[in-house]
Amino acid sequence: MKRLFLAALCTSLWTGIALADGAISIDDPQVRLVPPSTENTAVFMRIRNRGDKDVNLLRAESPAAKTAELHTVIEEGGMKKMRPVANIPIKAKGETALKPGDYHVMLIGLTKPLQEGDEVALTLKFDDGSSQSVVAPVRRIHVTMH
Amino acid sequence: MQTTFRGNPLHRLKLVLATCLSAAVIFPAIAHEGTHSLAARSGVARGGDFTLESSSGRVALKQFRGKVVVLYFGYTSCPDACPTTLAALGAAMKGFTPAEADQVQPLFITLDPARDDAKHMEEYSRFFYPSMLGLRGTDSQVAAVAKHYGVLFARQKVDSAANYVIDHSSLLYVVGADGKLASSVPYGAPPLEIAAALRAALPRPAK
Repeated sequence: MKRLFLAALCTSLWTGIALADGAISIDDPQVRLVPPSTENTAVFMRIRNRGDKDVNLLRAESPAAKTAELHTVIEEGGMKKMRPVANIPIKAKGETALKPGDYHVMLIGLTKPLQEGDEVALTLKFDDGSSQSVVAPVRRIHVTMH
Repeated sequence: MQTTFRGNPLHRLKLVLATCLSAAVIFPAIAHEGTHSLAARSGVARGGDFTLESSSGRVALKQFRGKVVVLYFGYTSCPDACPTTLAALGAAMKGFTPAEADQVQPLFITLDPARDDAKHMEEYSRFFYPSMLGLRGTDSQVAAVAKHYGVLFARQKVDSAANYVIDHSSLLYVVGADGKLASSVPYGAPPLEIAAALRAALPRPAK
């Protein structure tokens, strides 16, 4: 029990440090609401890199799904093609948007159907060794392009 | 980019150029080509009647004569293009007056009948708009309908827990009250543009 408490304390301290000093921050994470029996959905967000070095998002993990993968959508030969990617780059002093029709975190094999307003925990791991934990609300994603 | 259905010749030339360019260049993911009449395109999409299965039996395009039908081809485990387009279509439908909405029948046809059963298609379609019907058929039936409408698609094995994805073109097809293909709306069109394409096809424009 004591050990568990210590572990929790370390984690929270570490998270606190990451939030205070980390080059990476996450804005507006959200999970796309999908029809109830659909097993996959996408997570969108903006990832900002305040640091002087390019950083890559390497992995995503979530208890809400069996697997979380990094995907993108390309347009080729008149078709939309979803493809897994090894990483999602965030330029130094830059920002990468995970958004419809572009990079996204794909949750595959949802462990339970998601309702509008549910919150999904997500941990993102970067190649600078940092990690970010976010809570993404489930929303109807309305794309307003223009 | 704003375009109209009755483009002048210069406009049409621009659209042809844009279409050629789009084939040669990988568009940014949410490229927006503007709504265009099929006359300005290559003419591969001819449209035509079909009969497929819904959860409550057979559905023929013919039974909607007198209404405008809007068709979308995709699949329910589609990660992105399908829910994005269907949400925009749903939003367009919700912006109609009840009289207008009554004259438009949205249909969602799966390109992945192996994974999409009729029940799931119904539930998935209804989520985006209550009267949207989800349709499926055998692989060859679906391929035949897709071919008539100029839909490009290919099953693609990917290194993912999703096992395979369906690469596919992502246009909305507007079929007029006479059953003829009236126009198509490109991927990324906002709800207002989808609504405009549907209104343009309505037999009696609602005031």
